[in-house]
Amino acid sequence: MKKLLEIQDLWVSYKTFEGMAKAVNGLNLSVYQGENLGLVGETGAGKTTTALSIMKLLPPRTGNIDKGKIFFKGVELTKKPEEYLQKIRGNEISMIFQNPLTSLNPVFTIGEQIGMVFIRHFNLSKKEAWKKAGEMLEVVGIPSRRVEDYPHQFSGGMRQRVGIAASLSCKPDLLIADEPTTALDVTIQAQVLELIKELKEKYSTALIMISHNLGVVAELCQNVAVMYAGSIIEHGSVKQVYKDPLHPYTQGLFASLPDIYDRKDRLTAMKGVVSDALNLSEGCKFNPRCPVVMEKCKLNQPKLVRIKSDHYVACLRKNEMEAKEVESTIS
Amino acid sequence: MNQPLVKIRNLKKYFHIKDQGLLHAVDDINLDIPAGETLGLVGESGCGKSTTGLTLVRLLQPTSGEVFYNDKDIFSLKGKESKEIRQRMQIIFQDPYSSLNPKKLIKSIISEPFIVHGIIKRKNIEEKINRLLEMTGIAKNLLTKYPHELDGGKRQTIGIARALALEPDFIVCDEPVSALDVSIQAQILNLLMNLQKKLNLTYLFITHDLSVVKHISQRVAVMYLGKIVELAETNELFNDPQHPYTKALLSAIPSFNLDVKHERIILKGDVPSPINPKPVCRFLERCWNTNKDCQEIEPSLELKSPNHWVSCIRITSKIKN
Repeated sequence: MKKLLEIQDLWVSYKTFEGMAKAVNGLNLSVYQGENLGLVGETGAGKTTTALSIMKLLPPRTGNIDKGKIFFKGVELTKKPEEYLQKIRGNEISMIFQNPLTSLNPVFTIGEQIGMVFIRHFNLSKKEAWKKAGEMLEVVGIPSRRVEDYPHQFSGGMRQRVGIAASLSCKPDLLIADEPTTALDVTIQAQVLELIKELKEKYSTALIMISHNLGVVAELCQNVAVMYAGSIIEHGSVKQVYKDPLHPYTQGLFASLPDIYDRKDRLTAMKGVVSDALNLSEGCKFNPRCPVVMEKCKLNQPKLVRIKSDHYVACLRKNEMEAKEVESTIS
Repeated sequence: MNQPLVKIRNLKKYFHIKDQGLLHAVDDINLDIPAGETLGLVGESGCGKSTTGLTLVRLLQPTSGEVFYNDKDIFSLKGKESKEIRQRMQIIFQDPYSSLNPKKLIKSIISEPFIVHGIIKRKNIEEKINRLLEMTGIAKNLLTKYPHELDGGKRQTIGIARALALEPDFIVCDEPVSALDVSIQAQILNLLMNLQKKLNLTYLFITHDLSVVKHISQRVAVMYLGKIVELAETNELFNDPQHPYTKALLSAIPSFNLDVKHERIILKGDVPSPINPKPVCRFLERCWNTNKDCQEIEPSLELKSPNHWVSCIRITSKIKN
């Protein structure tokens, strides 16, 4: 399959009053055509920053890509001028945002907001765009007459449908969904996930699903990348990673979650707190919380190493052990 | 089952909404919470679960109905007696960021209950605080910090310590882990369960997260639009849900357990408005299992099988009269 997106050694930081917050630290990631990739991690892991870097939507004065390259269909994006990116945004790469209440403009009708996409990218007249907007609403299960309504007249789930309609209007090659169901109730979440699944098939779009919810990712994605402190620490097929997590952080994450189908007597809590982007530890960023930390973990940041055919992990201990195993089985 | 410590009888809480009518937030609910038990109260946003919790600790006045604490009607109590009851019934709030006063040191936040209730001498407060810190695992150096200096998990622990200060028997936990990251969530859940064992606490655990409720509670009540639609022991409810809403709710949870395949029931539409609801089943509009009787009869919570209460006329009782 063809590579659609490739991120090479991305470093992103934000200027804050307390100093530089290092949000993304040496991230490498590829997305193939038609792939469904889940990007999971806790608050502050750098998931959203990664997404905004791809779209080049980082806050202009405070956020900065310090280093790294982002290739989309072979074209490097980070150095491209704004005009070029405007052609791509919403057209070839588009995004569904977390909070459907703030991502829609309250003073424009839904028709104008979805229609904007058609006017910008297809040079349609206002009237044609309006009609197209209505058609898109039908696609996401909202009656087309509601193009005349304003965002406040819709419920949370409906607003997220509107967001999906707008983002799919140009049949993008890559759809980035940033926690699209976090603000929604479970039954509404189920509706929206079903809709994304269905439309993704219909438009054969690749999907990056950003979520802190491991269940949502299992529902929608074949592959998953786990982020911690701005880099990917484990990457593989959902089957591999969920059944046999290799990184101590991923293992801890699964052990700390209550499972609806399997009652655990006690949850195994991870010690410590989520890493602070203002004050990252040297070496492996997870080392202060790691139950199997070694001396050298405090010195070197581990690289993502292939352990099995579709399973990568960035952990010095695992790298050592498993790489040997792989070698011995190969030889 | 132990003797109920808290009994809720026909509790109603309506809010007037200007130009629109009456919002039925909590509409005639009955619950017994036995001593030492955790009762989970689950439902989606706007179903009235937090209103129920706030009314129980008298942060809201009910429209009608009674709540008995050890057979004392807490709403009829006045003055000194009312203050005493407040010591026995405490609450832990959802948002550890807005529930702690940002201008106060952690020390004064934790010691405030002692001062308000005046039950111990000022010079003994220090000793009391030390015991609370020990119990909840808070480091002593946090006492001289302000809430903004702590992370979410630590703040929630402070909220728990404050709720425990007056040695209550009953605690309303209103979504205590919803605002926390998953790795921190487990720390707080474990702490709450340890404390319950040690101090024989009774919890009403309010949450929208069904996997959390399954983990922590002995019994679960499911709420929908101000009504309790199902009440059963935890395992029973999760293994054999009866009410169509509970079934849909359980099937809608995205699980990370790849071994379990389940049929998904996708509900149509949104939760309807709780303002001036019609006197029929609240779930009627979204239900996938209705007949024409549902249009006319308002169901009530009935015992359908041992210890399993359901509010649906389509489910026949397995209990012989």
